Amino acid sequence: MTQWLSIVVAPLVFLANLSLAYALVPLACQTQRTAPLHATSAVALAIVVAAALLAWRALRTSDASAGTARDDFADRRFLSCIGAWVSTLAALAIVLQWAAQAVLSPCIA
Amino acid sequence: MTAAAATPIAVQRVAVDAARLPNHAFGHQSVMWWGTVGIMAIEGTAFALTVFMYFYVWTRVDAWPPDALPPELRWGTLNVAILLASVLPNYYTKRAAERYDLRGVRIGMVVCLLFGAAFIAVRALEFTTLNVSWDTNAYGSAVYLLLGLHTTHLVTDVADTAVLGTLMFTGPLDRSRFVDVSENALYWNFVVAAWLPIYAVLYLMPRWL
Repeated sequence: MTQWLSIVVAPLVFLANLSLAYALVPLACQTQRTAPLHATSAVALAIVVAAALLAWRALRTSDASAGTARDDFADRRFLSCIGAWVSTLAALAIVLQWAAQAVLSPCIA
Repeated sequence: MTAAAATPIAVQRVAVDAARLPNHAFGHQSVMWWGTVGIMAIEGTAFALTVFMYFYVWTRVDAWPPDALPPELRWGTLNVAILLASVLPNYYTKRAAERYDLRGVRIGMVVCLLFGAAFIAVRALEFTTLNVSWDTNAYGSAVYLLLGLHTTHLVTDVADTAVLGTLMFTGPLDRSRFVDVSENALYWNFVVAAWLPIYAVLYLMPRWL
């Protein structure tokens, strides 16, 4: 379950952050306040980093339980590996997006 | 030093008043259009690679599909019909955006959103009638990857349409938003165009070839 959460939730959080940022940029320009943009990115990053940590921990746990049935072990290890890398990639994408918000003015058309 | 060399040269600078230029444009004059086309090129390549993988697996086994029946036709075929029907409201929405017709855009986006929601609901049923699991064998993995990739595009575009549609009702609005609606419609055409060959690969070829 943890593995599927990392695979599905992390990209969805990235997508939600992207959509929220898209909706908030005009408001940030009007009010000249970028705090809401930074807050949504911070929350999104926190969720995705938590998902990544859970997935990496699940990967380590699956290594430790290598004595179980071969198919189960292979599935769990594979999903943990995918979840760990997908959520890490999503975290990196959010950081890059946040960097753009930090550098660029929200009033750039 | 000659007299000509000592004469100062008058430099003329040509300046353009950029304030008179529009801050947005449709089609290939828009950065958003180039971004959308670039994404479609990347994602089209990803689809092509996945289809290639599917056929590669096919060449390595005696019977196709291996240890499984082909996916049931009903839900996948229904989704072909839904997607093809969605082209009409999508076209209407794109044209309305290019006319800055806010009312038309609002109506069009709500209808497109309903089509997207219907497609996602039927896609959920599709996953239950594939007659194979993702971890059954390499064929099952290829099927899930192809369908999963397309579902990712679908969900992404429906989410974008929902956000854009909401902004069209709530604001704040400026005219550049209509460019976004137009490019969103262009991307939906890609989602439709991508589904037809994937449908043929997953549903028809195992029966016909």
